[in-house]
Amino acid sequence: MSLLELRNISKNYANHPACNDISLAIDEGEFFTLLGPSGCGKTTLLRLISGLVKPDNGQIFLAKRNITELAVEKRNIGMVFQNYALFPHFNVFENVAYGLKLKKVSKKTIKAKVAEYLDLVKLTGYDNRKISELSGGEQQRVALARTLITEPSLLLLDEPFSNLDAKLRDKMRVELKSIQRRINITTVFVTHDQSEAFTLSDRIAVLNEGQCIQVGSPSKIYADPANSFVAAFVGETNLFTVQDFPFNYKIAPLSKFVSVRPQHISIQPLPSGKAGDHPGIIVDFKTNGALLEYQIKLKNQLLKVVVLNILENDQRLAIGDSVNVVINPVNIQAFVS
Amino acid sequence: MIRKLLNSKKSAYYLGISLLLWVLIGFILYPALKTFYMSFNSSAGLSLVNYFEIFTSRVSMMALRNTVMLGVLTVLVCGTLGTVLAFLVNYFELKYKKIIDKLLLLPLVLPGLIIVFSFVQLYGESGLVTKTLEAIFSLNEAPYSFSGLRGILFVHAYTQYVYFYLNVSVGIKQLDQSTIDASRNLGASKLKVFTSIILPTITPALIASSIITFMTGIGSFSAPSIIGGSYKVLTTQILLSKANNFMSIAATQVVILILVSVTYLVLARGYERRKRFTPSVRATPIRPVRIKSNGLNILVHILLVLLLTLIILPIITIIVLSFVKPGTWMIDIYPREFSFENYAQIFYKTRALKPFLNSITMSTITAFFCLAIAIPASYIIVKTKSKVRALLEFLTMLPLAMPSSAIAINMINAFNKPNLFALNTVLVGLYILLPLAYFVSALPLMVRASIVSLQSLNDTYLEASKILGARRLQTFFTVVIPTIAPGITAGLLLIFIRSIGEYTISVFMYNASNQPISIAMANSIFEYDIGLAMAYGSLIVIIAVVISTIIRRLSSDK
Repeated sequence: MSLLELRNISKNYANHPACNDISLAIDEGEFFTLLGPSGCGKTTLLRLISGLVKPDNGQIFLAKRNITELAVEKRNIGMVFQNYALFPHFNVFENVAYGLKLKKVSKKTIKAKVAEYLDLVKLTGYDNRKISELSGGEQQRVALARTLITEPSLLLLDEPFSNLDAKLRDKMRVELKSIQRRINITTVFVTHDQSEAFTLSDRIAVLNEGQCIQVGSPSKIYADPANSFVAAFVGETNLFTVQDFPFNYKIAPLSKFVSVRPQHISIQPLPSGKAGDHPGIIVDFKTNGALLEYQIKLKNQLLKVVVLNILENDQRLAIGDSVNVVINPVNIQAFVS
Repeated sequence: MIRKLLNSKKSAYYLGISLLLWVLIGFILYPALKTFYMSFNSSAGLSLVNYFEIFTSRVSMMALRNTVMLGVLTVLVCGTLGTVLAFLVNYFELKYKKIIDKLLLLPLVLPGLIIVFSFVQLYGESGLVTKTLEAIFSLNEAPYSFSGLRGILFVHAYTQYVYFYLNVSVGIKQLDQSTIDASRNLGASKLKVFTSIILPTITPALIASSIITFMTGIGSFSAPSIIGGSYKVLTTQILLSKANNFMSIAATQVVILILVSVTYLVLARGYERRKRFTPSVRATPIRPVRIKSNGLNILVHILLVLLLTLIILPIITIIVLSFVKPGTWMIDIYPREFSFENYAQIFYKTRALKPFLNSITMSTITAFFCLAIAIPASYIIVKTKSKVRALLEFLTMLPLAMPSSAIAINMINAFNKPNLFALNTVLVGLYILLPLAYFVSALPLMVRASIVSLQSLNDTYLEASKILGARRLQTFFTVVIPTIAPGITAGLLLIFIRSIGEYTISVFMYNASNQPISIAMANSIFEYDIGLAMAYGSLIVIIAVVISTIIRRLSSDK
């Protein structure tokens, strides 16, 4: 059953559409991600759901109730801001207790609940710390506790990891996901980082220029992108116009773009004098340790190829080598747009 | 229904803006324009007669030259002193750094008038230090003369080096240690590091301080009027013209004074714009340099102790002399009999107590006027996209370009006849005019403070509060007020202590009903009642020190 439903939501800023006729249904307990490049409208959409911004057109339903015109503070939707927005004049305890104090909950209950939620985010004993004394990761945990303690029916996360360094980001992702699973809260997550979206989400909506391009599970979106934008944005790929496509395979009629993932291409050494179906030359090579990544020049087009790094050094292909490029036609994806 | 509500909201907004503009135009812009108009006023109608008279008068031209000279020398003296101190304290390793820093900031909150009188008691012809030196070295006359330009500069050095000290200290703290290291690594000598890295970093601070010091220098009134002697400057000439009721001449002198101040402001700002830079966000704070040579270290510390003594001495003098028993200190170098009589006089004699109460009341009124205007004005400037923003900023900052004597003359010119802004009453002669003039002179300070406070109120805090379920009023009381309160309270308190010791505006405008403590203090001095004057002074000093401690607490809490 869908908990949150957006129907034909539109929002313009100074005649520029930030969200254009977006409809989505998000299920109870789902971890749902709005993914897209900066300026695609994902943050605007999140703010529309929260009520901080009102839509020009369309309706928002939460648990079958139309909340389009409902005031922010009455929606019972929680949100963690990109910069956390922790109140600097309160300490950790006061920040976390804030939402309950507003609801005039008794002091004893507040104390117990704050302790419970600080424990949930692993910050037991931090009650009296000032916000300025916390690290980025700790601030984020406080922000999460402050939001979750009000037991919102929906949790909104606006790029919560963008202010953390890479290692901490990975750690916080795992923790966030485990907390989300434990309390089973429906979550809408905004990010421009596709690997983040992939590791966390049950389903993803890919947004571009204010429009919702595709909705689906991470594996579905990766395997079967709706158009060339999704193919290029989600994971790495080799994208060509039909005219430039350097292989001699038949492409579905009306298609304009063709995409092949780097791992779906294999290369075989081509002894000098011998001719292959698709002969190319290695022009660049790099490795991140686990993978070898080659740039191949094929019919004046550059092609990226990735293979597992399982060969001994001296058996590897090197820059300048001639190769035969092989693909399985089922891995070719063609798009009309 | 909703449309109606929106409309009433809108009309309330426009009513509010109209009220703001009414006050700002009526009490700041209109008085300034009135003075400008008066300067062209003569018996022959509109003409340049007044300007002609000033530019051909030997005395007036001398006053103008003296004023510019005083401004320039004040900048040089304060610049040298303040910058050297800032480097000693911030750039080198020192013991007791925090206490030294606090003491060095003390002159910021002490009214100039008190310093002048205290200096006279110390370094004047029969001052304590002067007489002591005479006694030690068996001199027949004072080893130096404290009156005239030198005396004024001495006072200015004391009261105004703080601007340089403060700004340059901030500049030094913005220095990026890694740029210094990089420059050394690229082969720069220590001198080269100073001229190519350190100096450019503090240049904006130097320019900003020079602007405020120059303006305070040329607008200074208490020092030139009390110890200036034959060294005439524009401010003292303005009072003379006003006292003789040559209001058109006074207006012309005010316009010339403002022109001098604005010229410097424009030139300095232009230079500053070329020298400005954005400090690096990831700057590594500098490591204080240890002074290696033992001799140098001792020298630096002796120098500091000497300077600190010079700074504290006037304050101690005021307090000690406030306990001198009236009529007992006539011929001795040092007073011998002490009592609480001076304080008893202030608190038990209505005539002596009234100025003290007046000052408290008027400073409170001033602070509230400032609050009422600065909060809405800065809110519109910071948080809205209203079209009147630029106008509000211009009007609220305009008094910065006007020395106190100019503000006083403007107010007198504008309100000695009934006008619309004052609801058709003559304000001159009324109690309220003095606090109104204090308000005009203090408003820029308050608007600055509120703007900074409001800027720290990030919009996401408000959004976060809403999302957590807070209604408008709850957000206002739990988030908005606590966030902006410390800065705004600090601003209010600062205005309170500035107003309580205000002298220049008061001299021009006070009357029997609102005689403030500074005037009472000056009158006691002129009646040779030094003890009473110093008791008044001590009260102001105590209030200033207590309040500035509170201000520091407020600003360090954040």
